[in-house]
Amino acid sequence: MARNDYKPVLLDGVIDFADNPSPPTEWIDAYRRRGGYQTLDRALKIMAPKQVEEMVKASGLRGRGGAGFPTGVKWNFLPETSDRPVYLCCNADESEPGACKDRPILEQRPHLLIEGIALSAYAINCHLAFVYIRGEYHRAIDVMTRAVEEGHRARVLGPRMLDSDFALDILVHSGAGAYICGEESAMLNSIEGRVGWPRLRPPFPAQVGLYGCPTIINNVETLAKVTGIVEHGPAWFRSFGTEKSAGFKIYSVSGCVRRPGNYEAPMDITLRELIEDFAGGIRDGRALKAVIPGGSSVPMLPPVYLDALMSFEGMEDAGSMLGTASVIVLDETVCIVWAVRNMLRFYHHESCGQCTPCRLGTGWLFRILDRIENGRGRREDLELLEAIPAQMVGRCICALGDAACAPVLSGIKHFRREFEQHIALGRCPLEKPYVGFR
Amino acid sequence: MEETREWNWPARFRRELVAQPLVGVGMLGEKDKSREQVTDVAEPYYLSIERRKWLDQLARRHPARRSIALPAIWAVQHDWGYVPKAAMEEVAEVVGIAPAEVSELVTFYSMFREEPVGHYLLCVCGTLSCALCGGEGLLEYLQEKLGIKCGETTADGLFSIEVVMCLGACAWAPAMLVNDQLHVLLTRAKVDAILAQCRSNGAKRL
Repeated sequence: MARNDYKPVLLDGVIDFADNPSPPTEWIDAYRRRGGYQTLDRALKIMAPKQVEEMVKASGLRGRGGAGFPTGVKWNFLPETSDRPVYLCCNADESEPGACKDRPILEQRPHLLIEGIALSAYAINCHLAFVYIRGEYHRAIDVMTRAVEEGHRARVLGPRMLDSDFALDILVHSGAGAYICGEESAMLNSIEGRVGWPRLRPPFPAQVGLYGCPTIINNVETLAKVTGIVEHGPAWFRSFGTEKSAGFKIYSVSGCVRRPGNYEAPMDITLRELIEDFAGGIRDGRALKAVIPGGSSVPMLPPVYLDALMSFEGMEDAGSMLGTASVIVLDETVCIVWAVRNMLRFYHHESCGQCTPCRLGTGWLFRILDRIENGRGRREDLELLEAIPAQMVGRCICALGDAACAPVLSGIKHFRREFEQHIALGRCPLEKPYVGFR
Repeated sequence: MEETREWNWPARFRRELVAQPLVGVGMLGEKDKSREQVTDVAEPYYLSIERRKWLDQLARRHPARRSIALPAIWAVQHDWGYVPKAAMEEVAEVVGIAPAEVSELVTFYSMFREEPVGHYLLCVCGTLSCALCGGEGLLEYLQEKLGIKCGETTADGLFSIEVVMCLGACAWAPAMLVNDQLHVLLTRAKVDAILAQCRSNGAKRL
């Protein structure tokens, strides 16, 4: 399908912040006028839960939260028979630096998400779903809470919803500023009212999750897509994107581009199209230096990979990961050491402190990068920067430690000379025009 | 919150039946005795009667009462601006957990504060996307304009500045939260207008 034929589904008509700092929310009346909740109504009346699950499986939908795990397969991990209830958690703890794709769905399309949650809950036979929104998203929390109340009043939620035998309640939970709660098992602990520490797996949440019951955790964007898949069928969804990465995705483009923003596109788009056609190219006519294609947790790429596909397999082939598809663009004036230092400050701050390699390693890496950037780098620092990640990757309960190593290792791999220059000169050789505030 | 809504759940969906205590899964399966708790456990001070009723209502929708711990702390912080030590004990009693566990939550989650801050808390995003669009300059500008450092409060008690890790407004950088209001695509003129607006509102709650 040609690119021009594609009409954004999730972001259709969503007004960008650039024009309006508080864009309007599509409340239930507007959503129903557009045909909302008809898919749910039809599914509850004429489809079996298994059919919905099969549709999602056939669509090839992969998780949009970062790991890209096939959604239908994940649902299949639930125990066939269990005397315990099944819970569904919608992960709206979007805190990855660079990612802002869930915000427009939560703030402007709450009912699209609720319909997706209801369809997914029906498929996995769940009667209580949770939406865990990060604490900084004050408006999203308000909007979602109100939208759920609206849903109850309109009887699209609650007991005998839409005159069917099915019942569902949705609870909106607010986080309180912990990045780690975006990790699925830490999120479960947080909903239970505990400290957000990731849990050791196995057992996986599909067996023992929230309150010790089988639990499915999906990202906001994943659940919002379920509505479209059930409405138009898996073949429609498969007609976009590639064989392994079916459908479309919201790409957040930020950093040194002319038109930063959220862009929804089929997943066979290239990095170049995304940056040049959608985001208007590099600002101030500068040249590209590096791209972080999937939020700060994935390795950065030099410009030679511009023609790589922004799909799960395309980014893997390029030596990075799609992650949350949050593209951060660095132009030629950006100091890589400064950028990596900034990202490590984030990981040092957000490490939950449960595992020693991550708790100590992130701080150690940050201090080394800080002294290199400030002209106090030592000759042995580069070796240290490569040796410390070797003791962190794969040695912690969750992936935060691994994520913190990605910017360091990829920065050294592609821009080693810049690190050496910093140490040799005893200062940062670049001017950093982007630091100033106009 | 809206009107109290007691639902008639079909028997097979009733929470009491659904939330079966687990045996042999360690801490996950502990029996939640505190669900029977009533509202008037302690003299209401930090958590008003209305708040407690709301929390009890919330607890009834959850499989375990402990899940209201974070909402309870949020309620205290919303009403008092911070979470004093005495409030932690009150929250502990209302939720049915130990005060040390509440303290653990307050110290773990970075949005909870143990000390009072100014009426307007300016949270400046310090992560990469904002830093690439003048985030560091924005922080400097605010510090200069208000005459305080990051983490401090102005003498009149109006403003506090804090650096936070990613506000999720990367595509609209630089961004800043003023209490619970997000401001994006900031410029010097916009910041001046925001500060002037805050000053004219004074110590009123936003």
